[in-house]
Amino acid sequence: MKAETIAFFILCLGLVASSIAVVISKHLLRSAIFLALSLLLTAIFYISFGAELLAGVQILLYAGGVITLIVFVILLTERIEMKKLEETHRGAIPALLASSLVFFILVYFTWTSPKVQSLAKSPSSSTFGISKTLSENLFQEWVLPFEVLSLLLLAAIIGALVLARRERKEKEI
Amino acid sequence: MAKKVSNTRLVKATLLALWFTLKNLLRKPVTIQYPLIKRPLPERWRGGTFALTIDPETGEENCIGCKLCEKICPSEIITVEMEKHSGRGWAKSFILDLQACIQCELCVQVCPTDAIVMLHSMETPTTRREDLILDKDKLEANGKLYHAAWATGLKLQRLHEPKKPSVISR
Amino acid sequence: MTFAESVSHGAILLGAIIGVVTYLTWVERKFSGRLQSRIGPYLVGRPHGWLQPIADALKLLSKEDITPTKTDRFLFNLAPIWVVVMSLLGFAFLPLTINWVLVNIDLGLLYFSAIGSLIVIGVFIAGWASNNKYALLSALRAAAQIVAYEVPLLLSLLVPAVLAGSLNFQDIILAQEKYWFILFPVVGQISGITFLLAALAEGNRIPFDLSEAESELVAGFNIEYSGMKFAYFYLGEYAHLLAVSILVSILFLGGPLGPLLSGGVWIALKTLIVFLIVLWIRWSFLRLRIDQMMMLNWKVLVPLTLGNLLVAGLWVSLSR
Repeated sequence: MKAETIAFFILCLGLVASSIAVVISKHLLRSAIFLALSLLLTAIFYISFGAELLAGVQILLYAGGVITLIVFVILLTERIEMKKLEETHRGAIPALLASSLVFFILVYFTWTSPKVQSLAKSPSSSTFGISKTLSENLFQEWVLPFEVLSLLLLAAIIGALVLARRERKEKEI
Repeated sequence: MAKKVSNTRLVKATLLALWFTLKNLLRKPVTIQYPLIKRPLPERWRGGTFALTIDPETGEENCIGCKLCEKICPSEIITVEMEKHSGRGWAKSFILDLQACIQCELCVQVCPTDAIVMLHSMETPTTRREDLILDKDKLEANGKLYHAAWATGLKLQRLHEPKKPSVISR
Repeated sequence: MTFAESVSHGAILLGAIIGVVTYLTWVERKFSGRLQSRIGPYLVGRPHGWLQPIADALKLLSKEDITPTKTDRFLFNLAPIWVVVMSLLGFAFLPLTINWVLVNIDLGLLYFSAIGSLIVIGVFIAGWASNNKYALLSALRAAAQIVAYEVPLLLSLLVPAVLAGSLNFQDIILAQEKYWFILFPVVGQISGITFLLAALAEGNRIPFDLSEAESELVAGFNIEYSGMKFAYFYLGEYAHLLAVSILVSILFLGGPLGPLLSGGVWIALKTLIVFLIVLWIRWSFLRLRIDQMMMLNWKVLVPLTLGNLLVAGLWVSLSR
């Protein structure tokens, strides 16, 4: 067996293990850390599949930004950080059923879909994930939707600011 | 709110701070490598350990066992026992516990016979506590190890005396 | 490069970095001493204390490895490892000569900054797992600070990328063949200085070391750590600082480019100079208050870097 293959399987094991640990660990913060780990490992998968930009964005936004925010919120929220999350395990069996159903649906459709199979036969021909083609698409062909989206996000940020500020004023009175 | 500081002042202060450290960099280091190079102790050094003096002419101890040092010591580390024979007082025993000494020099200041003095000694620490409890023998031996500091009881008391009105009487 | 080859190269790089970082502590202490008119370490390895880092390492190795009882054991032990791994990971993307780089990808700059932003999670874990109020406060401060300073850091980082027209480190280096980016009128200087400031804040260095403010937080997030675990944090911090110094020398000072000497020597020289400048800043300023620090970030650095990036983009698109 080639060294790459061994490394790939080690990565697979790590990803599955950390993903399971996210769900079953009883500390909120531990879950968050395992989530960061699984996101990182996913990024490594992206790299090995040649989607470099996607991997970079995954690390920068998800592992770096989102996880930091999640951890920040956990630490700032009063007195939840030391509690164990036992009560959330109540609906474990229905959740297991539902998630396995989703899993089988996903696997079935990807397995039978002709488009996926044609992609799997010639994976390197795709230019997806290369920054140049992406930026050309983003800033030339789809520049208007892109700008509209950014405007929407800006509106959302300003809206959040306005909402937060109003709340504080009421408290001061 | 803090007072508003103008931007030019901030920039000036920033550059000044950088210039200051740069000047230090170009200066020769002022460090003195202590165990290798020892600075001379100041004349009126007040630190280290003590000694009981011996009159060089008669070879007798100067201490008369008056217990003034025992009374004035703020941390109460001096214990003196007095005995009387041959026309004057003697210290039968004199114990000074250096562990609690605060180097205030008050015992030297009150001594009427210059019997207790501080020494020009710097490296007195030991690894055993017993070494810091000084009895009469050790105190007298210390006097031979180091030379005494400037201050003695009589010299210090002379400083406290009112100045003689020599200018006015003339 | 085959798989085995790249693994062995990685191992060599790792060993070299750890060695360099060990001696960076010596450089720091020596230079800090000189900045204060002292001479710094002297006695261990006379005459210049060149054995001091090794003595320190031995001391830390021989210390007892304490895990306090009321900590979260798993996370407490994970935090130092996380910090070290994430700090060292960034070196994989940095070219040390024009041709020698462990992972040569188009998005080197993006990857480097992405991994740099992961260090804060380790700080977080350390602060929380210690179960200590000082450590927790320090972790919160560090997080707020790093999340805030990420913005000007990336914005000033993008200026060389825009000027070179690439995110690949090699392209950025080769674009500086005519003149270094720090000499680029106005734009280069502004982005260089803001990058250095933001990187200092990101690495929790003085004057932005609020998360280690000794007078308020005793020691910061690493208060409960001792022995080798503490040394890991130290290693991580200095490795990050070294990476930042190398990055500045690559992005703004032309990296391995230079006459006569070979590329490795030039980059080492430039990195050392940047490192000494960081130390110079460290000993010249007082620690900022948290509101001053945030004000500096949001009211000065972010608008400045944003405008700077805009000007750089305009310049490039107009001169094309």
